[in-house]
Amino acid sequence: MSIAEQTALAEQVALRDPDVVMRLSRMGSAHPSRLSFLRVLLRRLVAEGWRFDRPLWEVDDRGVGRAVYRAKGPVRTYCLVAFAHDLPDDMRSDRVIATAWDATFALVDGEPTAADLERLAANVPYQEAGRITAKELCLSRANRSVRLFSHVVDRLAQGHQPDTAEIDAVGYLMRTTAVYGSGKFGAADRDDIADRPELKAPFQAEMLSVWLTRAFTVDIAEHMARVKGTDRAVRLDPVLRRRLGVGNSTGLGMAPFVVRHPRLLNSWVTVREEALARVRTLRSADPLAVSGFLAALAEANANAGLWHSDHPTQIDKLARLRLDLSRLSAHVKGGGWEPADPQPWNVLWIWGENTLSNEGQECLLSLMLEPHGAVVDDLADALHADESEGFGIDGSLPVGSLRDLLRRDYAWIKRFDFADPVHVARFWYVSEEKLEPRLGNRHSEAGQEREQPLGIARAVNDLARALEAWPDDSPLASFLLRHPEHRHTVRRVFMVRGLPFAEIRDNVLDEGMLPIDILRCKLAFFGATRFDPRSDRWVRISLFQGQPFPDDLSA
Amino acid sequence: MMDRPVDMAHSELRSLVTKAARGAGLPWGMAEEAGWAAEWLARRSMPAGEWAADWMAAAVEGRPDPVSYGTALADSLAHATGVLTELAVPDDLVAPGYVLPFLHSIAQHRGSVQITGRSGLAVRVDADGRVQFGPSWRERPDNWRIGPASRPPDPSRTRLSASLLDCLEGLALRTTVPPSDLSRADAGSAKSDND
Repeated sequence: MSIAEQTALAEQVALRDPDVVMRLSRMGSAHPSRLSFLRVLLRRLVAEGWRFDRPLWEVDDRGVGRAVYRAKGPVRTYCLVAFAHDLPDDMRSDRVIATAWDATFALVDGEPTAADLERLAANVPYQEAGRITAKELCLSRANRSVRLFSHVVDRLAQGHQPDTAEIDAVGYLMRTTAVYGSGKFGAADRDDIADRPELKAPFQAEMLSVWLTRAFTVDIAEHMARVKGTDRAVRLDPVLRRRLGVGNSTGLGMAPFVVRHPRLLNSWVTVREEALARVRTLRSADPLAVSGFLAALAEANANAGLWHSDHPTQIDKLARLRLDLSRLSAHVKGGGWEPADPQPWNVLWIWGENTLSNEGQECLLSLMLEPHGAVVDDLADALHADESEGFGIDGSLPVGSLRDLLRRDYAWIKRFDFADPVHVARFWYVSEEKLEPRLGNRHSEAGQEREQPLGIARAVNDLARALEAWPDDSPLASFLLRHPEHRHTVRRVFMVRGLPFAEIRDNVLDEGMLPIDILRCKLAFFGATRFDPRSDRWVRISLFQGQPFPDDLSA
Repeated sequence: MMDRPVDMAHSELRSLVTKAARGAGLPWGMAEEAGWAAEWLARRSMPAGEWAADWMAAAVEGRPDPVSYGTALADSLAHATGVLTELAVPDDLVAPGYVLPFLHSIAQHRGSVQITGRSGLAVRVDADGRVQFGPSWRERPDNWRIGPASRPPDPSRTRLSASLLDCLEGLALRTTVPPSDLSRADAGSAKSDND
């Protein structure tokens, strides 16, 4: 019986409740899955037979120069132009206020001409202070992990392979500190390229850029090893190489994105939840799927062992995850789970819901999807969202219809008392300093008059109160004419109607809110692993760790 | 600070205008409308940035801005029923080009919309987003009125007002030579035509 037939015959399992899924504590426990954006990209590259090469490598003995990495697909070609720099240690900073980096990059739409390379050389190393054009899709930069980069270069220069433990302890040679796309600094508009199949899913250009950057990080290390060790130098063992990802260091900037793109967030979460429901609905467990699940579980156990963090919150979450994974292993291997039972994946899921912490449950979700590509991979086509939909407001609607929507879709805001200073303690703002997004304390810091409109729960609460004085049959246009300060919230309420996973169902102004929960949710959708908070608003992660390199796919 | 012109992506302009509008004192929701309108104009090669600077300077001083005006128009007219009646456009509205995206919102639901002035058409916006400027278009409104477009323009014909026709014909006459007996005498046949 085919999977489709199984699904059709079985009792359809409903999607999880948004009041469960969209809480920050759960979003902050998200794990990458086969529907994460980098996995979607890699599957396409393999399925369509993309070819990769490095047509340019002009790097001197100081490690300064340029390189081009080419990705040739069935219809289009994209090239990563990399600039390698000699960065003094005292200038190395991952924050957006940095002005120099170890390497800078642009992803070019097509192949760069000599004139393009000169133009990019005059702009890309300056990042935000430079400009790119509609011929470029992304602008990014990366800094070395000084410790691991030096270790790898030294060992390769001496003719030896680096220590596996050293590689695993860091996990990357370089970490990107920003990857800009979607029209930023002059790049191509997202709207103008979103209809390309290879770029339709979210952040595919950015993922391609980072994946090609990963190849550069190894190439530059091997280059420096050759310079240092000359004939003694060896190349990095491909098995060790695969353990390297690209690090990413990110701060608060990712959090506003999640709040500002509710339709997109809804698509991402809906796809994941639909995938989970499909697997739970399966009538039986295919033996191959069971063995795939067990293999993924073993890998997750190994990954949790290598996952390191010094942050107290993450240490606690890691301990819970390790405990959960050991419980899960004991359960599935010790006879607690019987794959021959009806709807066995649903049985396993319900056991997990009743037994595991949020960390363990969200990990179990990813593990259950892993062996079910045939059941869930088509959902990747629904990860995108048309964000222009719902921008316009129908002013002829009666105020009562808006009030109805608030009652139906925003009942969750009643959990918060916005008269309590604790519940409005934070405010999100953008600093003048390189426009860095920051989070302030309303009661002790200046600047709340320039607050960004991210406190959706409070804004909806304010809107509901303003509406109290208006009769149901008043046209919305009249209300908005009198209260333009609520226009932003009114638009949002209509924009997300019928989209159950569009809102973070928590108060992002609360004193106890942890921004890293929002960051982790987004980074998990990217496909990030080794989530390592450096504070409650700053995190390092790894991308593409364990995944193939371009030359693996071209071989 | 760069001293060369900067080519901006549409989304980049939209983001910039949104933030600038908020900085000029508009509520966030209205600032979002400004950003959306800027992109709409930029995609039609209209001077979205220049016009924005004009009206934002006025908005900072508390003068009417075309985004608040256009938004109110679209809110009240786009989805309304009944005949679209003519409305006067305030003469003190700065950068009226920023009203055009909102006229498009109305046109999408109500059919083509136009602004007319002393010399006829100022601008017409069709449901598909096409814009046609007319002789009354100015950098500031001048006795303008918004209303439904009476009929689609016929590209095979050009309508001129009588006064405009007089004006143009008067100028065209300057290409002619005043009559004289001599010119008259030399103009025809040397012989009588009454043969």
